[in-house]
Amino acid sequence: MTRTQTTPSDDISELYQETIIEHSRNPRNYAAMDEPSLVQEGYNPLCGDSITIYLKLENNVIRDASFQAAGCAISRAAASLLIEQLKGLTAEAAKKLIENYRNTLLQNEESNTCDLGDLVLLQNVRRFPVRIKCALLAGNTVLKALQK
Amino acid sequence: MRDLNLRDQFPILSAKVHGKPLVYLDNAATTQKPLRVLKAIHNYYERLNSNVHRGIHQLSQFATDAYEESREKVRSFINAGKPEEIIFTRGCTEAINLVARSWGGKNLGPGDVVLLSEMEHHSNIVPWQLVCEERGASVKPIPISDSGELDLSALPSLITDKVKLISVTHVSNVLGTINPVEKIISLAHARRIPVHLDGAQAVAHVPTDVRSLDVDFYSFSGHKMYGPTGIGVLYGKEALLESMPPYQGGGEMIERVTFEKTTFDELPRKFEAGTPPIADAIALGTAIDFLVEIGLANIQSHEAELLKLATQLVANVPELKLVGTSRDKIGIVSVHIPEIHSHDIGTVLDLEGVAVRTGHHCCMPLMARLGITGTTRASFGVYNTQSEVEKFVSGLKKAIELFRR
Repeated sequence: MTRTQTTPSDDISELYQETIIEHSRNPRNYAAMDEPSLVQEGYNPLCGDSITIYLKLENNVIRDASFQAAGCAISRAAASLLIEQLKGLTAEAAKKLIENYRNTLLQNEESNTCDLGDLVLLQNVRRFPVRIKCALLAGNTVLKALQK
Repeated sequence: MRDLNLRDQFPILSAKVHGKPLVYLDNAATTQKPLRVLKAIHNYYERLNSNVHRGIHQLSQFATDAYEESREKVRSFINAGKPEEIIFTRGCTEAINLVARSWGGKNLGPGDVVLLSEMEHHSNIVPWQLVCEERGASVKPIPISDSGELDLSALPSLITDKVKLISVTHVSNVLGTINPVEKIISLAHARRIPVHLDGAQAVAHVPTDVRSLDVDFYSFSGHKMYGPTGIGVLYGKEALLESMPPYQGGGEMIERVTFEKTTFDELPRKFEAGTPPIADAIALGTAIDFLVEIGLANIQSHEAELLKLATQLVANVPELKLVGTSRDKIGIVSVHIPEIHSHDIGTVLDLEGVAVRTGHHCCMPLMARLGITGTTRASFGVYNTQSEVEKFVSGLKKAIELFRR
């Protein structure tokens, strides 16, 4: 799939796939959390998007995760799809997932799309360099929370 | 509607993006440059390149003449009294920082207030906050109405004895509102308060006459008026500029330097430390020639036609909420679609070849006042056409279909 072979209408439907629009409209785990272990806010100063991530950890395992956000469809869908996958992961596994997702979007060699689950739906964002930061806001914010 | 027929002077307008013809509607961010401006830059480096105000050699004299000729063009364009009142800066932002640092640093004290407005660009907020913080002063905004106009009824009560300067935008970069700056200036001058106007969005769209306005400081950028980036202008009344300390130190701005004491050169060089962007200053003069040849009145009526069409087409789509509905506007159309983020709309438009600005437009306090996170903004220039306005609105409809499916 090279850039020159696609038409604008292909591009738009590959970027905004059905599942992405659906998650952006009805984000899962979209709520504040009572007594979270970790709360982290994240911002994209360039576009003004913001997110708050709530994590509950027990013995280094993410038992519960939720978020609240103001942002575009890409950033909301990326947050919804990521947060869904975090539950049950160890902190290390979560970090690895996010690193893998980052590498996919930034087109680093170490990327492995098979392990991304539904986050793989966001891989076409890499063809829209100005939107990559939208797709990474939730992941970067979770990483920041886990570094605490 | 009569087209100004000058698209062929702008090579970039024949570019394609995503395989579609470029529809450039981001003129409030920066305008494209006509071929003659590009040639002026090239010509300077090819035939005139040398430093200004220093060399004893002929080339330096030619470069100095061209640089000073451009200053005279700026003076005439905004009808300033003297070329000494025209300071070349790196841009509008630096011009505002110059006033804030130099005038504000000298004249602001504890408890003093700089009056701004809720519709200011960050570049007319942050420089004032920085100097106010140092001086123990503060900034206060003039409120706006829901239609995006300054609430002048609030002004008399806001102009207290503590107000030392009023700094507002001539034209809003988000709302398109042309502010009633004459009224503000006369109210301020009645209390002996100087006024600075941010003219970044005004000079290429409405005739600007600093003497008839009686404004004290006026700032603008070259690159939003068909000139290059890296060059801007601060106009200041001579007596005020004379009273102010230098903004930056260096070469060019001195009279005599010893390790004990340095005395400074006269206006305008006192405020032009270091080698200026000579090529860009000269090319700004060329951009002014371009604007003067078309005529501001013709530009105004052309852009008003585009604004009228865009406003009508937007009004026909119920999902589109027009942000900024003042009767006195330049060709800026900001729209908001509830539940669809402006960046998503911007990407859909981009894939149609339509370049717009999305988001908060460096006006976060304005977005907070309006209760939205951003808008999708089309801003028109001399080369835009009716069919481009139609493409903008059909792109918006496409975004609505995509995200509401």
